[in-house]
Amino acid sequence: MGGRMSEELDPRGHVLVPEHRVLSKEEGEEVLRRYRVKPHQLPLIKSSDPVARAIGAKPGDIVEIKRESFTAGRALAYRYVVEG
Amino acid sequence: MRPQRVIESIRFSLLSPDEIRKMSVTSVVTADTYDEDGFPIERGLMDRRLGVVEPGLTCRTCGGGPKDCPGHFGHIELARPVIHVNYVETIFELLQSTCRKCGRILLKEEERERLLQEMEGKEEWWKVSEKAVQTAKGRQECPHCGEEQEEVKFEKPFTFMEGKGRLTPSDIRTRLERIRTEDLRLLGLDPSVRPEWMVLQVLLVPPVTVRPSITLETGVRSEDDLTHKLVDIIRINQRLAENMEAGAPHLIVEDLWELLQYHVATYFSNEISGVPPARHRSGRVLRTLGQRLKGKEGRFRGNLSGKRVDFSARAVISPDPCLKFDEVGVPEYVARVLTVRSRVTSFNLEEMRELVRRGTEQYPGAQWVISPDGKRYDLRYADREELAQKLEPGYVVERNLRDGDIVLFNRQPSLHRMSIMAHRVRVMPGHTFRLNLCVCPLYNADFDGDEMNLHVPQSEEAQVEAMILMAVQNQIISPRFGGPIIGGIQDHITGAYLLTRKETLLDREKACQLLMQAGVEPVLPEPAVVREGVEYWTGKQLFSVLLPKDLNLTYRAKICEGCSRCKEEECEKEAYVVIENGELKRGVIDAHAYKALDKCELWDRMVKEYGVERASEFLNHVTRLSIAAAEMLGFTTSIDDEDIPRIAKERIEEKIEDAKKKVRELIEAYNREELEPLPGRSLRETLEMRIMEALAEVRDRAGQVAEKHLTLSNPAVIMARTGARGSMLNLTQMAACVGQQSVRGERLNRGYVGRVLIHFKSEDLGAEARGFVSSSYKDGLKPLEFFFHAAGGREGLVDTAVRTAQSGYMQRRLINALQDLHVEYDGTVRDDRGVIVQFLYGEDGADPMRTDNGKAVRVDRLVEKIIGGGAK
Amino acid sequence: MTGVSPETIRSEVRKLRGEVPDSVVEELERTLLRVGKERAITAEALQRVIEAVKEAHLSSLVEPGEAVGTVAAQSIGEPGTQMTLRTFHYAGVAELNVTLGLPRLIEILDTRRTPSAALMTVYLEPPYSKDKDKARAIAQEIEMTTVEDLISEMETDLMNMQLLLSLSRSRLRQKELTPSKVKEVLSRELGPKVEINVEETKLRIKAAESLSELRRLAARVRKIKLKGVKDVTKVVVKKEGEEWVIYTEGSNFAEILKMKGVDKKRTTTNNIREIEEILGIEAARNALIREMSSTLREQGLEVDIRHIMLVADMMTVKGEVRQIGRHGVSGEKSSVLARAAFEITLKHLLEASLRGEEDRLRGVTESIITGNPIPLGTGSVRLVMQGGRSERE
Ligand SMILES: [Mg+2]
Ligand SMILES: [Zn+2]
Ligand SMILES: [Zn+2]
Ligand SMILES: [Zn+2]
Repeated sequence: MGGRMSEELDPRGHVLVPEHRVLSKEEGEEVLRRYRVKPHQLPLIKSSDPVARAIGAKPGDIVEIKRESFTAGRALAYRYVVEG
Repeated sequence: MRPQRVIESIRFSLLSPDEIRKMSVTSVVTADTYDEDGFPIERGLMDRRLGVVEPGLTCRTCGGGPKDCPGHFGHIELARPVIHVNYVETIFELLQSTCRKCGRILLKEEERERLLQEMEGKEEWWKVSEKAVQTAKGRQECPHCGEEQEEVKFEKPFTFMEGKGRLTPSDIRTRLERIRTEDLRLLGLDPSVRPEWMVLQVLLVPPVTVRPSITLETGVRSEDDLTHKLVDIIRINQRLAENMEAGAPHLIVEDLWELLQYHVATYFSNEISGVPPARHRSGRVLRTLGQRLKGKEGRFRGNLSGKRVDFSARAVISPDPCLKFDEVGVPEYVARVLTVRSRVTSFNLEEMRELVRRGTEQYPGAQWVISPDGKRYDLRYADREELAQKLEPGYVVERNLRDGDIVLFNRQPSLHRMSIMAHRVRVMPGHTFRLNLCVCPLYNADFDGDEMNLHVPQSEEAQVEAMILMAVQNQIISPRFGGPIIGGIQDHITGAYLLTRKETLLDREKACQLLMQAGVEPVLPEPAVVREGVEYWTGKQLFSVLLPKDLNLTYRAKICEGCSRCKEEECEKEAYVVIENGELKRGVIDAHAYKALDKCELWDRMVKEYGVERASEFLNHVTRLSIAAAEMLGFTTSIDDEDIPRIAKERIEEKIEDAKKKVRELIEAYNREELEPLPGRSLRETLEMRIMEALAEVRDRAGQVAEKHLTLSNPAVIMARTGARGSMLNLTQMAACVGQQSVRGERLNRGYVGRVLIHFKSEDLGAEARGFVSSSYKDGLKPLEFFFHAAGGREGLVDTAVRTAQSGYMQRRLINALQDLHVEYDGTVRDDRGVIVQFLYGEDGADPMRTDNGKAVRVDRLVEKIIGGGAK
Repeated sequence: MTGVSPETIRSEVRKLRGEVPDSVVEELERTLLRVGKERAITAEALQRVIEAVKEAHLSSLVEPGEAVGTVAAQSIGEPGTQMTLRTFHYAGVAELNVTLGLPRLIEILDTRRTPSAALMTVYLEPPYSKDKDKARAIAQEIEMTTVEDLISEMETDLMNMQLLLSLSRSRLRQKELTPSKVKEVLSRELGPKVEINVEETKLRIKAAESLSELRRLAARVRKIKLKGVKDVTKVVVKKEGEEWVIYTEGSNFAEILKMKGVDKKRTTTNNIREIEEILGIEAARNALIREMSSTLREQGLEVDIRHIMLVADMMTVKGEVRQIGRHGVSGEKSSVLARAAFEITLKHLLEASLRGEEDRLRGVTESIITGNPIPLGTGSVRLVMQGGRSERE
């Protein structure tokens, strides 16, 4: 991650930002299998997204998001990283 | 019936001249439509090969009559090519981004390759084309043949210039012809589309069915706007052809060509900027193709997304408290017209025969009989006895609507799904649709002239779906928040209150009478009181008859004043409700028991724990009981309910005087600049805020004084306090003081310079001068007060109107954006492309309608039920 | 009869994890442990409770095919008619203007770049959050002060072609500025060509050649920022429970988060675009949910959070916040007919013809237009038959 990161604020830890994690290739494939979808049918996240940048997510990765759910306590969501 | 086919997909494209000629049944050459005898002229715009609309005629192409002929296209060969106006912008971009000589896109080979690569496999490949076109536009020199490019200019509406010379549509067409197919995608076009087709050589003529002529009562035939436009096009086209043939001067030909361009352009769209719209002889602007599709009444929103239907009725509505809440009263004259398709089976054969015999003459009867081979018999004319004998399983009878049929009932604006529900029919005399009052809040209906629609589902499948998914009983819980939205309203509440308060005692006759009216068997419990040998029952006892025997519930009623120390069971106001084993022990029944959209503790519990069936039964009974009670015990309100004693009046006046004095003091302090400004506010703003505060306070104080005399012995107060209708604010405004009027949240201040009305001095900031109404509605407003009140009232009306428009549009947008989302079998929410929007609906998979006000599982209740107390 | 131990309760209840939502598991555990202290819970009762919870969860689930989108849209749209059009003052902080009700809801769905009343809630880090004066100091630093805020009078001297600014002493004091400091900022902003003289609280700016230029200069000078954060026009310091919090009118999230003393974890803005830019798409989703539900709640309208979540999820699926409307979600639908039927009919049809688009007719609008069954609810069920040989053959 280049020099830009240093002056930029790290969004992680903010109350509005849930935990993001880049999935391994196998984990990503498992997600696609579980939901029987192609990557583009997942919700997307841009590679320029502040959090995506902070965790080093690259286009083609799948990011797992651990949300604090308003209804279920905790909920998992996935986003496919796209260029942008 | 013709075999049904399903449209699987629709592909959009441009028509090539060849395709147009191929699909055309005739070329149209004469501008005349009918001859002297009124017959369509051959090769004219009404040629019989183009289809027929008038009954009795047959189509010369397909041989069908107006019912089965779909109409057929014709075409006009244009003497000179013209530009399709709707594509001028695209043509302009194409001219700018392709080589004037070789027609290649002005991109270097490597740019081309890179962009094509980028495009590969993309669903929205045209987004890349936009980039390609932008790059190509700037090129001065063709990278392929080296040709120097000249700047192309576009002058609205349809003139193109290159350098100094003008590009005629013919020139443009030849240039577009040179564009290579392999460049098309980069230019934003599908390879199946040839760009030169945007310059028209042949014009498609729509079938007459698309532009039917109408015959007025006078016998004069009036043509459709499109026909008028086509007539113009053919005329000019003819003249142009003749002049060209005769070798007329260049200028004349050019002029006619330009005119042809104008007519063809306005034929496609009559709202082109910079082009005077084509008009009818009367001066009316013609409605041509573009206008036909656009807008709320256009083809898309007016005819395709919303369609007219058969088997429907519309009438004024009126209330009927004796109906069950899932019924709808249908007047007989409506039931005589509406029909339901009934299949004849061995079980209903005799019944159907009888209906056929009665036919259209007697109600209930039938209108049509359809034999198994699909033949329809109209019972107005057929031999009914014979038909009745012929009837056997396999026939279908279209019988009149009758009691118990399932119909859909709807009131616009249909803002939520409860705006259209399935009811059971009750045929009755009269001219209006009748409905139970409990469903009024759902439809947002009242009876000041509201009308509603009724639809009769025809197939068994549709009826069953309606019954299961749309039945009123299944809409008691709102999907919006998971609480009851159907419930008691107004008199249901007052009646229940009158019945259940402690002073209500009823002898055997009255008690039985009430229960009978409620629709329950009058089995009375032990009398509560026996006085001088006469047995009396309390209203609470009667109410308890309707409750399930295992119900236990404690809550505070609406009338609870929120005393600082609640005496709970000892509450002498009967505001603490205790139900033990289905027995109403203490407290009164009011809005907090079963009013729709209120807290409705009792009702909520009934619906969620005893099921829809039991709850519906309860509601039907309890509403009738309440209304019967109100009738028996007597309930009325009149203007003297707002009377308060003279002393109270005087006290109110004193308070108002005090407040006015305080306002004057504030103003003086302001003038002396002694007023302490509130943080972040100017002095003037502070003054206004302080004055408003003081006047709002005095209104409340005046209200409090009045409220001391407005007790629960007063019917108007009963309505307000039990939550049946109205509020204490309404009452105190009537009895004590109306209070400050406002416009835009401020005291009134607009009008003359420094004053609202000439009756005041300029810059008078006093209470009266700025819209404080100290009179009560009962006493009547003084003239100036009346004026201020009207100003404030007007704002309210305008607000409502604006709000309806704004929220309507917001709703349309929301619906449009979200309507394709649905839950899949794996619990995910996806759109029509299969894109996952949520991985589990609502993150817990719970349907709000099946939750308890949003809570999917009531852990506390379950634990309490199984293990016992202490769960709270 | 002895009850089961807390350990048994814990271990039994936790077996539910994965089967029912975590929140339910946790609530059940808490409730049972509390009740267990007061009365004995038998193993049999425990099992019955657990079974009941499973059953309640199952019976609360949505039906497959349910048109949850439409229900969400209606649930948010229908109460719209009952909302106010007026913007009122903030309940807690009387000095700040906040957009409420219908206009605010529309603004959120429109994802306007700058909301009509942008607002930040700035939380502070410990030494500052505990001390009123320290909090005040930060607030002072944040609030944008322009030349306009300081001048008591501004004259255009046509004779000498110069501007004459009189600064108010009290306001200078209030904003902790001096005339020379003002001069310093002005010279920096206006460049070296402009000559500025200070006489006590009067500033003389000489630069203009013509009258129109002088007027332009005057307008420009008024707007020059002397200190504070750009766009933050008003600040209010308020005590929230144990700590001091700064509320601001006007929002500049990026700048605020750079400031010392500001709590970078809790400070928020009501401008969703800023949140998206600085905290990312997931934070924007959360902010959308919060903003929408607080707007509805403030109006006393009860709307299930699930509907709001669905709207927020739909707005953020594409990795950026999209508007509910033609420039966002509706404009990017796959179906040509659906787009044409919504708004700007002709443009969508013409574009589709050039691109050779194909409408697969899978959505609601298209199905209605073509007379096909709607692929939702009971219409989403298809009968699939195994194409095998029949026995008799
Ligand atoms: Mg009405
Ligand atoms: Zn025909
Ligand atoms: Zn070339
Ligand atoms: Zn009480």
